[in-house]
Amino acid sequence: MGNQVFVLVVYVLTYAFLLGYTAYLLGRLRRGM
Amino acid sequence: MRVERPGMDGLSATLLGLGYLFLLAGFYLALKAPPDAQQGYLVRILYLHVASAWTGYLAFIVAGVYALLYLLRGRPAFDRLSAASAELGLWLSFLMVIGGMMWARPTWGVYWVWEPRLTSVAVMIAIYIGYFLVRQAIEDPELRAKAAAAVAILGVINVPITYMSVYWWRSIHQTATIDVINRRVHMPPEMLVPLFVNLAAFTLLYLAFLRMKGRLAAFLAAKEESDG
Repeated sequence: MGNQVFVLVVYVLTYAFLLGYTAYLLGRLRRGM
Repeated sequence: MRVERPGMDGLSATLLGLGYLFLLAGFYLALKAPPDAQQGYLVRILYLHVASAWTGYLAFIVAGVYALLYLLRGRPAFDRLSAASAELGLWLSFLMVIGGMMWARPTWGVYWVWEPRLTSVAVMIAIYIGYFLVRQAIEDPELRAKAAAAVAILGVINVPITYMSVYWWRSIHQTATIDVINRRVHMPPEMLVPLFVNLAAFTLLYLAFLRMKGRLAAFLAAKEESDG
Protein backbone atom coordinates (compact mmCIF):
# COMPACT_ATOMS: atom_id res chain seq x y z
CA MET A 1 0.00 0.00 0.00
CA GLY A 2 1.50 3.29 -1.13
CA ASN A 3 -0.44 5.21 1.50
CA GLN A 4 1.45 3.51 4.32
CA VAL A 5 4.47 5.66 3.46
CA PHE A 6 2.58 8.73 4.69
CA VAL A 7 1.74 7.00 7.97
CA LEU A 8 5.36 5.95 8.40
CA VAL A 9 6.64 9.50 7.80
CA VAL A 10 4.31 10.91 10.47
CA TYR A 11 5.25 8.30 13.09
CA VAL A 12 8.99 8.51 12.42
CA LEU A 13 9.06 12.31 12.44
CA THR A 14 6.91 12.62 15.57
CA TYR A 15 8.83 10.05 17.60
CA ALA A 16 12.16 11.46 16.41
CA PHE A 17 11.10 14.93 17.50
CA LEU A 18 9.90 13.78 20.94
CA LEU A 19 13.07 11.75 21.62
CA GLY A 20 15.33 14.47 20.27
CA TYR A 21 13.65 17.19 22.31
CA THR A 22 13.84 15.04 25.45
CA ALA A 23 17.57 14.48 24.92
CA TYR A 24 18.10 18.19 24.23
CA LEU A 25 16.35 19.25 27.44
CA LEU A 26 18.05 16.56 29.56
CA GLY A 27 21.42 17.67 28.22
CA ARG A 28 20.79 21.33 28.94
CA LEU A 29 19.53 20.60 32.47
CA ARG A 30 22.53 18.43 33.25
CA ARG A 31 25.11 20.86 31.94
CA GLY A 32 23.24 23.88 33.20
CA MET A 33 23.27 25.89 30.00
CA MET B 1 27.88 33.07 44.31
CA ARG B 2 27.71 29.86 42.32
CA VAL B 3 24.28 28.59 41.30
CA GLU B 4 23.74 24.82 41.44
CA ARG B 5 23.07 23.15 38.08
CA PRO B 6 19.39 22.21 37.89
CA GLY B 7 19.64 18.56 36.78
CA MET B 8 16.49 16.43 36.72
CA ASP B 9 13.88 16.51 39.49
CA GLY B 10 11.56 13.72 40.62
CA LEU B 11 8.32 15.14 39.23
CA SER B 12 9.75 15.84 35.76
CA ALA B 13 11.26 12.34 35.63
CA THR B 14 7.95 10.77 36.66
CA LEU B 15 5.96 12.73 34.06
CA LEU B 16 8.54 11.92 31.40
CA GLY B 17 8.60 8.20 32.26
CA LEU B 18 4.82 7.93 32.32
CA GLY B 19 4.61 9.89 29.07
CA TYR B 20 6.90 7.46 27.26
CA LEU B 21 5.07 4.48 28.77
CA PHE B 22 1.79 5.80 27.38
CA LEU B 23 3.46 6.63 24.06
CA LEU B 24 4.66 3.03 23.76
CA ALA B 25 1.20 1.69 24.67
CA GLY B 26 -0.37 4.17 22.23
CA PHE B 27 1.87 2.94 19.43
CA TYR B 28 0.97 -0.69 20.15
CA LEU B 29 -2.77 0.11 20.29
CA ALA B 30 -2.56 2.18 17.08
CA LEU B 31 -1.05 -0.85 15.33
CA LYS B 32 -3.78 -3.12 16.71
CA ALA B 33 -6.63 -0.73 15.85
CA PRO B 34 -8.84 -1.74 12.92
CA PRO B 35 -8.57 0.05 9.53
CA ASP B 36 -11.10 2.74 8.66
CA ALA B 37 -13.91 1.71 6.27
CA GLN B 38 -12.95 4.41 3.76
CA GLN B 39 -9.36 5.31 4.55
CA GLY B 40 -7.90 1.96 5.54
CA TYR B 41 -4.76 2.14 7.67
CA LEU B 42 -4.20 5.77 6.70
CA VAL B 43 -6.43 6.57 9.69
CA ARG B 44 -3.46 5.73 11.96
CA ILE B 45 -2.20 9.27 11.32
CA LEU B 46 -5.21 10.47 13.33
CA TYR B 47 -3.81 9.14 16.63
CA LEU B 48 -0.80 11.46 16.46
CA HIS B 49 -2.42 14.28 14.48
CA VAL B 50 -5.27 14.80 16.96
CA ALA B 51 -3.01 14.28 20.00
CA SER B 52 -0.53 16.94 18.85
CA ALA B 53 -3.36 19.31 17.88
CA TRP B 54 -5.04 19.07 21.28
CA THR B 55 -1.86 19.42 23.31
CA GLY B 56 -0.82 22.32 21.05
CA TYR B 57 -4.07 24.11 21.92
CA LEU B 58 -3.52 23.24 25.58
CA ALA B 59 0.00 24.68 25.46
CA PHE B 60 -1.23 27.97 23.97
CA ILE B 61 -4.01 28.21 26.55
CA VAL B 62 -1.52 27.57 29.38
CA ALA B 63 0.80 30.21 27.88
CA GLY B 64 -2.12 32.67 27.95
CA VAL B 65 -3.01 31.82 31.56
CA TYR B 66 0.60 32.29 32.73
CA ALA B 67 0.76 35.54 30.76
CA LEU B 68 -2.33 36.80 32.56
CA LEU B 69 -0.89 35.69 35.90
CA TYR B 70 2.31 37.56 35.08
CA LEU B 71 0.41 40.77 34.36
CA LEU B 72 -1.55 40.39 37.60
CA ARG B 73 1.28 39.30 39.92
CA GLY B 74 4.45 40.39 38.14
CA ARG B 75 6.42 37.27 39.09
CA PRO B 76 9.17 36.51 36.51
CA ALA B 77 8.51 32.75 36.88
CA PHE B 78 5.09 33.21 35.23
CA ASP B 79 6.72 34.92 32.25
CA ARG B 80 9.26 32.09 31.92
CA LEU B 81 6.54 29.42 32.02
CA SER B 82 4.40 31.37 29.54
CA ALA B 83 7.29 31.51 27.07
CA ALA B 84 8.10 27.81 27.65
CA SER B 85 4.51 26.81 26.99
CA ALA B 86 4.22 29.00 23.88
CA GLU B 87 7.35 27.37 22.45
CA LEU B 88 6.02 23.88 23.12
CA GLY B 89 2.70 24.89 21.54
CA LEU B 90 4.54 26.00 18.44
CA TRP B 91 6.46 22.70 18.17
CA LEU B 92 3.28 20.68 18.72
CA SER B 93 1.52 22.76 16.06
CA PHE B 94 4.32 21.99 13.60
CA LEU B 95 3.90 18.27 14.35
CA MET B 96 0.14 18.65 13.87
CA VAL B 97 0.62 20.39 10.52
CA ILE B 98 3.10 17.75 9.28
CA GLY B 99 0.67 15.00 10.30
CA GLY B 100 -2.17 16.85 8.64
CA MET B 101 -0.26 17.38 5.40
CA MET B 102 0.70 13.72 5.23
CA TRP B 103 -2.96 12.87 5.70
CA ALA B 104 -4.22 15.48 3.22
CA ARG B 105 -2.04 14.37 0.28
CA PRO B 106 -3.52 10.86 -0.10
CA THR B 107 -7.10 11.87 0.86
CA TRP B 108 -7.57 15.37 -0.60
CA GLY B 109 -4.92 15.11 -3.32
CA VAL B 110 -2.93 18.10 -2.02
CA TYR B 111 -0.62 18.76 0.94
CA TRP B 112 -2.16 22.14 1.70
CA VAL B 113 -5.30 24.05 0.77
CA TRP B 114 -6.35 27.48 2.02
CA GLU B 115 -9.60 26.35 3.61
CA PRO B 116 -10.84 27.73 6.98
CA ARG B 117 -9.26 25.20 9.38
CA LEU B 118 -5.85 25.22 7.74
CA THR B 119 -5.91 28.99 7.31
CA SER B 120 -6.80 29.58 10.97
CA VAL B 121 -3.98 27.20 11.98
CA ALA B 122 -1.57 29.19 9.78
CA VAL B 123 -2.71 32.41 11.48
CA MET B 124 -2.28 30.77 14.91
CA ILE B 125 1.28 29.69 14.08
CA ALA B 126 2.10 33.15 12.67
CA ILE B 127 0.90 34.80 15.91
CA TYR B 128 3.17 32.64 18.07
CA ILE B 129 6.15 33.14 15.74
CA GLY B 130 5.39 36.84 16.26
CA TYR B 131 5.40 36.19 20.00
CA PHE B 132 9.04 35.07 19.82
CA LEU B 133 9.98 37.94 17.50
CA VAL B 134 8.62 40.32 20.16
CA ARG B 135 10.68 38.54 22.84
CA GLN B 136 13.80 38.80 20.67
CA ALA B 137 13.23 42.46 19.87
CA ILE B 138 12.89 43.86 23.40
CA GLU B 139 15.92 43.92 25.67
CA ASP B 140 14.45 45.24 28.92
CA PRO B 141 13.21 42.10 30.75
CA GLU B 142 10.17 43.70 32.33
CA LEU B 143 8.99 45.41 29.15
CA ARG B 144 9.68 42.22 27.18
CA ALA B 145 7.61 40.15 29.60
CA LYS B 146 4.71 42.60 29.46
CA ALA B 147 4.68 42.88 25.65
CA ALA B 148 5.00 39.09 25.29
CA ALA B 149 2.16 38.59 27.77
CA ALA B 150 -0.07 40.83 25.66
CA VAL B 151 0.68 38.75 22.54
CA ALA B 152 0.15 35.47 24.41
CA ILE B 153 -3.24 36.64 25.70
CA LEU B 154 -4.33 37.96 22.29
CA GLY B 155 -3.06 34.75 20.68
CA VAL B 156 -5.34 32.58 22.80
CA ILE B 157 -8.36 34.20 21.10
CA ASN B 158 -7.36 32.36 17.96
CA VAL B 159 -7.43 28.93 19.64
CA PRO B 160 -11.25 28.63 19.87
CA ILE B 161 -11.53 30.18 16.39
CA THR B 162 -9.26 27.45 15.04
CA TYR B 163 -11.16 24.78 16.94
CA MET B 164 -14.58 26.04 15.80
CA SER B 165 -13.52 26.80 12.20
CA VAL B 166 -14.66 23.35 11.02
CA TYR B 167 -18.19 24.10 12.30
CA TRP B 168 -18.49 27.78 11.40
CA TRP B 169 -17.23 27.47 7.84
CA ARG B 170 -17.91 23.93 6.65
CA SER B 171 -15.21 23.02 4.15
CA ILE B 172 -12.90 20.12 3.33
CA HIS B 173 -11.48 19.43 6.81
CA GLN B 174 -13.59 16.97 8.77
CA THR B 175 -15.29 18.05 12.00
CA ALA B 176 -14.05 16.85 15.37
CA THR B 177 -13.96 13.10 15.94
CA ILE B 178 -14.71 13.68 19.59
CA ASP B 179 -17.28 16.40 19.16
CA VAL B 180 -17.37 18.28 22.46
CA ILE B 181 -19.71 20.91 20.97
CA ASN B 182 -22.51 18.50 20.02
CA ARG B 183 -21.48 15.85 22.58
CA ARG B 184 -21.05 13.09 20.02
CA VAL B 185 -18.24 10.65 19.34
CA HIS B 186 -17.82 9.58 15.74
CA MET B 187 -15.59 6.63 16.44
CA PRO B 188 -15.78 3.02 17.65
CA PRO B 189 -14.11 2.15 20.98
CA GLU B 190 -11.32 0.18 19.23
CA MET B 191 -10.13 3.48 17.78
CA LEU B 192 -11.13 5.72 20.66
CA VAL B 193 -8.91 3.91 23.18
CA PRO B 194 -5.67 4.31 21.16
CA LEU B 195 -6.55 7.97 20.60
CA PHE B 196 -7.01 8.61 24.32
CA VAL B 197 -3.82 6.74 25.22
CA ASN B 198 -1.86 8.84 22.72
CA LEU B 199 -3.56 11.95 24.01
CA ALA B 200 -2.50 11.05 27.56
CA ALA B 201 1.06 10.41 26.33
CA PHE B 202 1.29 13.80 24.63
CA THR B 203 -0.21 15.60 27.63
CA LEU B 204 2.24 13.94 30.05
CA LEU B 205 5.21 14.68 27.78
CA TYR B 206 4.04 18.27 27.37
CA LEU B 207 3.83 18.70 31.15
CA ALA B 208 7.27 17.12 31.61
CA PHE B 209 8.81 19.38 28.95
CA LEU B 210 7.10 22.45 30.43
CA ARG B 211 8.47 21.72 33.89
CA MET B 212 11.96 20.95 32.54
CA LYS B 213 12.00 24.16 30.48
CA GLY B 214 10.68 26.19 33.41
CA ARG B 215 13.40 24.89 35.75
CA LEU B 216 16.09 25.48 33.13
CA ALA B 217 14.91 29.05 32.53
CA ALA B 218 14.80 29.72 36.29
CA PHE B 219 18.37 28.45 36.61
CA LEU B 220 19.61 30.58 33.71
CA ALA B 221 17.93 33.67 35.18
CA ALA B 222 19.49 33.03 38.60
CA LYS B 223 22.89 32.47 37.00
CA GLU B 224 22.68 35.70 35.05
CA GLU B 225 21.79 37.56 38.23
CA SER B 226 24.70 36.08 40.21
CA ASP B 227 27.13 36.73 37.35
CA GLY B 228 25.96 40.33 37.31
